[in-house]
Amino acid sequence: MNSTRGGLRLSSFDDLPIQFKASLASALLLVCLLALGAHAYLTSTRSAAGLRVLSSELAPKQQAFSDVGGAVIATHMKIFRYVSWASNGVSEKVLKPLEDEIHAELDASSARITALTRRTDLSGEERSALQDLVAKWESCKAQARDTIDVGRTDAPMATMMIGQTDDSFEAVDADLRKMSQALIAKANALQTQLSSDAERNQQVVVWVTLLGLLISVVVAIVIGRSIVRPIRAITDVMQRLSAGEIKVEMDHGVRSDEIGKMADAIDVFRKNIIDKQRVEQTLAEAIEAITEGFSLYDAEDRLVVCNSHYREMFSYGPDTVTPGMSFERIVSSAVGRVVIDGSGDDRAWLAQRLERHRNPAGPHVQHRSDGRWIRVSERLTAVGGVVATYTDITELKSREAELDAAHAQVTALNETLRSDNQRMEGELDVTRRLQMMLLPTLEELQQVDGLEIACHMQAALEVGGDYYDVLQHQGRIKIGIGDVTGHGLESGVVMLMTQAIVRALLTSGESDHVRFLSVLNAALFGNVQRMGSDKNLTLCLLDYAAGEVRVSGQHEQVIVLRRDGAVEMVDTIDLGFPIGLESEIAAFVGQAKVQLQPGDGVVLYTDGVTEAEDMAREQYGLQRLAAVLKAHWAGSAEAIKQAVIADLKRFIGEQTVYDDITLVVAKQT
Amino acid sequence: MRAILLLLFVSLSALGFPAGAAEFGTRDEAVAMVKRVQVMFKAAGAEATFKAVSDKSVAEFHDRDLYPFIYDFAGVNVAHGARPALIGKSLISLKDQEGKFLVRDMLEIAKTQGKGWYDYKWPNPLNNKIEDKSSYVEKMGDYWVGVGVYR
Repeated sequence: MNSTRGGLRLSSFDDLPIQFKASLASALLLVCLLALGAHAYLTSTRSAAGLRVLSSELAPKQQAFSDVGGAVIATHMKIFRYVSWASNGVSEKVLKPLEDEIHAELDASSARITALTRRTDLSGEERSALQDLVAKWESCKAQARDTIDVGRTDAPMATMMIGQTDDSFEAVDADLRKMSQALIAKANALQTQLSSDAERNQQVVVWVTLLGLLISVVVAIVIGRSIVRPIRAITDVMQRLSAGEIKVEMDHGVRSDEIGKMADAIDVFRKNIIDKQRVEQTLAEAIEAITEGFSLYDAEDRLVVCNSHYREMFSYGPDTVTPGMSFERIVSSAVGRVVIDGSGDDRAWLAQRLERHRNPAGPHVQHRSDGRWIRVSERLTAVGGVVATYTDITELKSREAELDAAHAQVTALNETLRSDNQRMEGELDVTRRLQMMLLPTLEELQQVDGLEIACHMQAALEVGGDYYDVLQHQGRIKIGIGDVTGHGLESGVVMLMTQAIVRALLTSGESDHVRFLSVLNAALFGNVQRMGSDKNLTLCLLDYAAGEVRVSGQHEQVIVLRRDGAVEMVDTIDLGFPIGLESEIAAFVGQAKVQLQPGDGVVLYTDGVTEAEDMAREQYGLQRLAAVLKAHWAGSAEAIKQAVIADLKRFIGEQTVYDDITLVVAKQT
Repeated sequence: MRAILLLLFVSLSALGFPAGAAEFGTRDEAVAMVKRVQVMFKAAGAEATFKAVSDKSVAEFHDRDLYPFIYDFAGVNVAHGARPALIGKSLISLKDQEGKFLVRDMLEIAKTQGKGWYDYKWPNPLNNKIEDKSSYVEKMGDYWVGVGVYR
């Protein structure tokens, strides 16, 4: 016994399957019954055999012997009577029938004895005894006949012979009696045996029945203990489980019989319940976490599950939405208390809503009287239910309205812009044409004394922000290069104004480089201010006279190339200030001088050249520009310019050109 | 031949008989009669002897209460001088009133001793009363013969 564990297992006997136990109990009872039956069968068979021997064997045989004995005695008596009558002189007439009778009886007795010997039920002993009897009878019969024969004529002698006849008859009779008695004794013995058998049988039946009863009781107790008690424990566990108690612990896995398996199964069941509760909890939390209203109706249209959003949307007054309620009831209560869609015809709306619910198509939108917009998406589930989400799209709706308004504004603005743009495009085209018109002509360049000049200008947009010019006035040559911030109309206009002011100052004979730049700055600043623009420009001016170049104004570095290809750089950072940015810049203006021998020259450029990018977004750079110039410096200014532009274009490749590109090559002749 | 033999027989018997000496025969006379039967048995053979013994007219074998009786060794009577009804009957089990197996006992005497005397009870042919009798028996070939006296 393992009672300390308090579990289902009581002993190793419990591990045996119940079926085996039941079979064992049945087998034990069957053994008792079989023993009882077999005993009864054997006993009754023996009794029947004994009775049969008694009734059909011993009794008739004994009767036969007894009959023969009786007949023999009767004949003996008749012989005696015959001799007696003969001795007393009874007449022949009376004796003759008696004599015939005796002879007939002797023959009859012979036949009877012969019949006895022919019986098939004789024992060996009886057979030999009968053989003796036959011999005795034959002599007895002979003596009887002799006696009768003698008696017929000699009665006294017959009387004398009666003695021997008596003996032989007595011998025969004794034998027959002996055999008969033997049979009687046998029958008595058989009867005694049968009665004792019956008595013993009675006792055996009583004892075996008691034993069977005892075994039944013991088996019932043992098997009952090993089956009923654990089943009661399991039943208790199951009742507690069904009552919702899941913290039921069971001493399972110890037994290996059906009850052990049952316990295992219940434990699995218990774990499944826990899992199910966990899953349901998770599902409920997940559904609750949805920001929309969620509901699931079963095939009978009864609410299975919903979240608080849904409940809130459909809980009015005392009626709280609870699982099990029908969709119609929930929606009807909503109709009764809150006007939906404001159509006024509640019944028609309800019918339509129910129809939609039963045959969901796409989502639809409800506009509630409290101002909220709810989008309802319903879908049929595989098992015939309906799952639905209710999304509050009030905010979306208001944003949509805002967007509609904004869109209308944009459309209107767009219309305006489109007409403006058409106008501006025309203006820009004019400006570009004006700008190109104002660039120095080829003839002008060729007329410059002492310098061979080649120029290139390419705008990134229709109107560029780069500026260059070559002016000649009363023997003074002025070369300018600049870069207005930005592109487009404004930049183009600033560049045009710059060109006009530079020509005006040159024409007025202004020779002081500080005043020249200060006036230029002041004039341009004023105009830019009037334009309400923030445009300004870097500008570098070169004055050339008799092999000397004077540089002023802040811009890119000026490249000086000697005839032998040597490269020199002139930094312009300290030579000026951006034009049009401040009202007064005189304090910033400086000047640098470069002496040129024949074959020497200067190269001017904007950052559109040095900052041009290739496909790998590498910048062209000052070094590369200087190297290309040096390599081609032996050629004409035009050839040098073309070599640089070709190299630059090769460098840029398919890359977009972001800035205006301007290059001026001036070589001393 | 037969006549001669008969004649001889008769003469022999006449010589040996003291006729009418007393009412009952004596023991000697009984022995003498046995001897005569023996003589005839030897001379005339069994058949003739049996016939003569059983024939009451033959005086030689029938004298007052004396008569011979012949049995074989199975106890079957083959000749009887007083009671012819017994001829052919087996009397080996015959008993007298005292329970004596007289035939068997005399047969035994003849067989074992050749001759001898035996006492028993037997009906007297003269009055048919059962009386005490002493018989003398002798072996005679395959048979035995006896003659008795009543006392």
